[in-house]
Order: sequence, then structure tokens, then C-alpha cells
Amino acid sequence: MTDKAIIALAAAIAVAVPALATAYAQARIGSAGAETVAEKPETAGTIIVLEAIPETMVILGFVVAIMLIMGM
Amino acid sequence: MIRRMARTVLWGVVAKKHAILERLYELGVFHATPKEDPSNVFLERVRHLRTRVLHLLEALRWDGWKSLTEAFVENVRYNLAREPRQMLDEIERSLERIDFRLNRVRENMRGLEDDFQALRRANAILSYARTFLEREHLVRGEVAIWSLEREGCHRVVSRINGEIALLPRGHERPSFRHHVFELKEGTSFLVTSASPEIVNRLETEILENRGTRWTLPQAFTELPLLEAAAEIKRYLRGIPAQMREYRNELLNLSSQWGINLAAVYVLLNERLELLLMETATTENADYFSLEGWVPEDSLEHTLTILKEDFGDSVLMRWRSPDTSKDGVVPTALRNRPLFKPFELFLKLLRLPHYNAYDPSPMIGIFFPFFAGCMVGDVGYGILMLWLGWHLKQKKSELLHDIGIIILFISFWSIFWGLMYGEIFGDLGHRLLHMKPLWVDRAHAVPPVMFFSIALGGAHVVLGLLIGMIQGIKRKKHHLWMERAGSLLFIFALIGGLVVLRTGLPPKFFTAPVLLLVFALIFMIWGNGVGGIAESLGAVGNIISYVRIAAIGLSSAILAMVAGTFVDTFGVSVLGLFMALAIHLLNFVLALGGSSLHSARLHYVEFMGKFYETGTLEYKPFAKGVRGRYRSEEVFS
Repeated sequence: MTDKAIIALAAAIAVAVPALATAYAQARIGSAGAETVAEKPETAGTIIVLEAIPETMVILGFVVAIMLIMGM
Repeated sequence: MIRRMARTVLWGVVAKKHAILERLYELGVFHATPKEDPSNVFLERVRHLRTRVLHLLEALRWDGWKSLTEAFVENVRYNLAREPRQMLDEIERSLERIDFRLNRVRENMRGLEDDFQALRRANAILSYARTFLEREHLVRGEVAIWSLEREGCHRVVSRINGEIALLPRGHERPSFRHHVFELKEGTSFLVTSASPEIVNRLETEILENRGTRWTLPQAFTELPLLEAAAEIKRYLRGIPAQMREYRNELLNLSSQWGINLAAVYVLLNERLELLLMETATTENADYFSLEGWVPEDSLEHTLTILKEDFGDSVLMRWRSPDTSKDGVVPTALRNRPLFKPFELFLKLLRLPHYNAYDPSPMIGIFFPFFAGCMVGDVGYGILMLWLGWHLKQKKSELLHDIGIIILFISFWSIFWGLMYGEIFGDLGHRLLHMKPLWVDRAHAVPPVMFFSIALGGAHVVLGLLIGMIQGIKRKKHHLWMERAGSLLFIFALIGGLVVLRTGLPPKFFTAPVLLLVFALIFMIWGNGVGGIAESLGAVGNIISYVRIAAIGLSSAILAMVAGTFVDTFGVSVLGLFMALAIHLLNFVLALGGSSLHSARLHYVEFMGKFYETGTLEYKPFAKGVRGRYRSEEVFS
């Protein structure tokens, strides 16, 4: 395998693994959040924030991927 | 900004109490806490009647709150008795009349619905049995329909047939014919035609197998089965028309009474609020007092009006809030019209604490900027401009505010679209040879990424600064020290990076190291080891702003993909359709995604540094005509 291919694979893994983790976390938060909003509609704002929190993982993965590709 | 409140006490002459309270209610500035008193029979009666009116409106399926005008409410008030108890009696009598008529229609509808279900089932059963019944009708056998389990049907049939077969030769054999069928719901039926001598035996056998005789619906029991089948069919055909008639009657009742009931609801609500206001007062022999909160900017106006109307019969005094004596001070926001729509972001959480900082103007500046930076497309910006303008014209306050927010985003989207050289992706470049004023983000990611981090650094530093100032103002040492430690930590990191990247001599590291030492002192002094974790979190927060670049990049690439469909399929219907579909999807994602992520950056990364939610919202006793008439509030 060439160096370029290894870097591409590493960048893909850097995004894919956090993306899966984020998806799992968001699914759990989302389902619990939907139940909460059904009971207390006034919590909608807080739930939206909570739902968006795990996305930081993918963003960090994206940064790592870009750093790998750019050779930083 | 948060409106300054004044702890206000109002004294008035008991003889003019109702008039004074009514005037205050009209002015709609006095926030007081009512005292719950279940022994107050009159208040409970008003509350009960109000609930009853709501239930009636719901039963009438009336939802014409938008058509209810203040003039109509005044007209209903004019027609009702002046004396409160008489007014309640009058309303109660009217409600009983409406209740009676409504119940009659609803009972008729329920009865018809039940009939419909029963007849539909009978029709299905008779349809399955029809051929058998017609054949047996000619033979004139004794016919009956039985309901029993499928296995039971087979047992009964084989038993009866067996018994007939065992009869001695020469004996006249009784006739027994049958038909088994099953309805879609899973119930089995056995239709039998038997000679009179075995009818009793057949019935006993069926009962032993837990079967029952199926009978026609009540109105048809006298008819033979075949005639009943024809009659039921005819009756079923007439039911929809009858149901329509009842629905029209309900609609007539709704249009006749709905708006009147809604006006009565408003009047009862008004009465209830006045009664609640009364419970907040303290009364002596000659005067009463009312204690609560009035915004400082409304004090003079309120006093002038009360003095004009009641002269020396009323006295009002106020002072600045003292949380140790007054408890929680209610919060109300007042921002310039430009930033007012952005108060929406705070309402989605909870309003800030009275002494906290209102970040609405900051959100008004940064939210559209970030969202626009993510969208970064002149074409999408123009579409947003149209959408925002359209929503801004709406009467609903919420839609109007959202419209203004989208307008702000659209301006920045157009600005960033010019910077990135994007009009519907690379369409601007293809058709107009448009060049980016700054950078082509789809092909040069690092500059936008570093810009996003720099933007994040500035935003987080601003949040920390506000948090530090708040901590100093409110004498919360741990808060301001921790924030100061985080600030120094970020500056130390920036300093270190600058020295590293610019290749300055090692002696220039002294300043960042010193900053780091001070940062550690502040952090540990402020919040112990937790302070260090908080500061590391602040660095994570800054990196989180990379999402501005990431989402922008995905949006730009998706827009370019739309263009490639035209390359692949040519300027054909399919090519244009695919390109438009992708652009539409991208537009929705760009608007939704940029708003959601921009909101998140504010809620978590920015406001997390200083925002403190309050527990009490300023809610004065007020008429609030528009809001009160909205159905979603009424029925919530």
C-alpha cells in the first residue's frame, strides 16, 4: 500500500469512527429528547442543544483528517 | 438588555379598590404574586366556568380565534349583566343551553356511529351467507346463523352428520345442510338449515361447543334473514347523509356559538386575573396595599395615570430591588428592534437571571455572521432574502422574528458568497467567470479552517471576558478567577503558537510561559483542579468552530455536485431536474444546518461561559389582547 493510500485510509477512519460514535450518541439523546419534549414542550431548546453536543467528535475527526491530508 | 425593575408598593382607598385594580390591569405593568386561596368560592367558580367554556369550544371544534376582535368582546361585555355574580349566573345558564344542544347532537352522532358499525358487520355476515340463504329459501328449511370457533364448526357438522348416518335403514332421514365462513376479523360462522326434528339436537351441540346464535340488529329482528339483508343495505346507504346532517348541525352550532363563547372566555379570563390580583392585595379597614414589581421605565407613566384618575386616593412608592429582602426579581428583556428577534434564542432556553447579562445583541451580531459564513453562496443568499422577506410580513410574532433572522443570514450569505465566489455552487464561475474575492473554499480548505478557529478564538474570548466581568460585578471570586485563568491560558497558547510558527528565538517563550503560570494560579485558585479542566474545555470549544468551515465545505461540494448533473446529462429535462433537486436539498440543509450549528456555537461555546438562567419571568397582570386570543395558548 502506498503512503498516499495509507494517509487516505487514516483520514477516512478519523472521520468515520467519530461519525459512528456521534450517530449512536445522537440516536440515544434524540429518542430520550423526543420523550422529554412530548411531556414538557418548554424543554425543546435545551434538547436541541443536547442533541447537537456530540457532533464535536466528528468536527475533531474532520480536523485530524484535514491535518493528515495536508501533512501538517 | 434586561429591564431594571423597581420593588413597588401601591396603597389605595378600599372604596376605590376595584376601579384602581382595573386601571392597573389595563396599564399592564404590575407584576405581583397571587395568593392561592381554595376557599375563595367566587374565584373558583370563575375558574371552573372558564374551563367549561374551553371544553365547549373544543367540543364544538371551533378555532376561529383570529376572527375574534376587541370590539366583539366589548359588545358581548355590554350585553352581559354588570354585577359579577349575575354575570356568572347568566353565563352559566347559557352554557347549560349550549351543553344541552351540543350533547344531543353528539349523542345522535355516537348512536349513528354505533349503528353503522353494527349494521356493517351484519351486512358482511349476511353477504357471506347470502347464496346459502337464497338456496335454502327455495327449499324452505329452518335456517339459523351461529357464531363459534372454526374447530367447533367442524366438530358440530361431523357430529350431526354422523348421528344422521347412524339412523336405521328405512327411517326417514332428517335434512341437514350447512355453510361455514370466516369474517376478515377472524370470527367464524356456521349457517345451518335443518329439519325441525333435529333443530334442538343441533342447538345443544352448538352450545356445547361454546357457540351462540347470531341475531340480527335490534330494528331488524322481526324480518326474515334475506329481507333483513336487503333492508340493512338500504339503511347503510342512508347513514353517510345522516352523519353529514349531524356534522352540519354541529358546524352551525359552532359558527353560532363559537365566537360568543370565545368572547366569554376572554371576559372570564379578565375577571379571573382581576380576582387573582385582588388575592395579592392586603386589606385594612380603610385602605389596601399591593406589593410587586414594575419596570423602572414604566413607573412615572403609571403614577401619572393613577394620579390623574384617582388623585390622593392612591399612593405609590418604589425602591431598587434588594434580593436579600425581596427574593427573586422577575426578568424582562428590552432590546433595540434590530436585536429583538434574537431574544427568541433565550426564550428557547429560559430567560436570564435578573442580574445576569442579556446576550441578545451579541447573538444578533454573531449568529447571522456564522450562519452566513457556513452558507456562503450568493444564490442561496438571494433565496433566503426572499424567504425572510416573505416570513417578515406574517402576522405571527414568531414567524416575523424568524423572517428577520433569516434576512440577516441572507445578507451575510451573499457577502460570504462573494468572498468564496459561489452562486449556486460553481454556476457563477461557469456562466459569469466569477472569481472569489478571498478563497475558493471547495478547493482550499485550510484558510477557511484557520479563519474559523480564529473566529472561534475571538468568540470564546469574548464569552470569557463577559463571564469575568459578570463575576467581578457580582463578587463571585471563583467565577471571575476561573474565567481569567482560562483567558490567560488561551493567550499563552496563542503566544506559544506564534513563537513556534514565526521561528522567533526561544527567549520569546518567556511571555507565554509566564502567562501559563498565572493562568494556572488563577484556575486553581478559582475552582481547584476543576478550573484546569474548564480551561482545557475552552480550547476544545475554540476547535469546535471548525464546523463553520466543515459545514460550509460540504454545502459547497454538494452545490458543485448539482452542477455536474448538467455536465453528465446535458441541458436536458433530467439534467436540470437533478440539478434543481440537489440544489433544493442543499438549500434546506444549508439553512437548517447553518442555523442549528450556529445556535449550538452560541448556546454551548459562547453562552456557556457566562449565561445564568433565571427562575421568574416578568408577567404583569395585563389585558394582552392578541396573545390571549391565540388558540395555541388557549388550548395548551
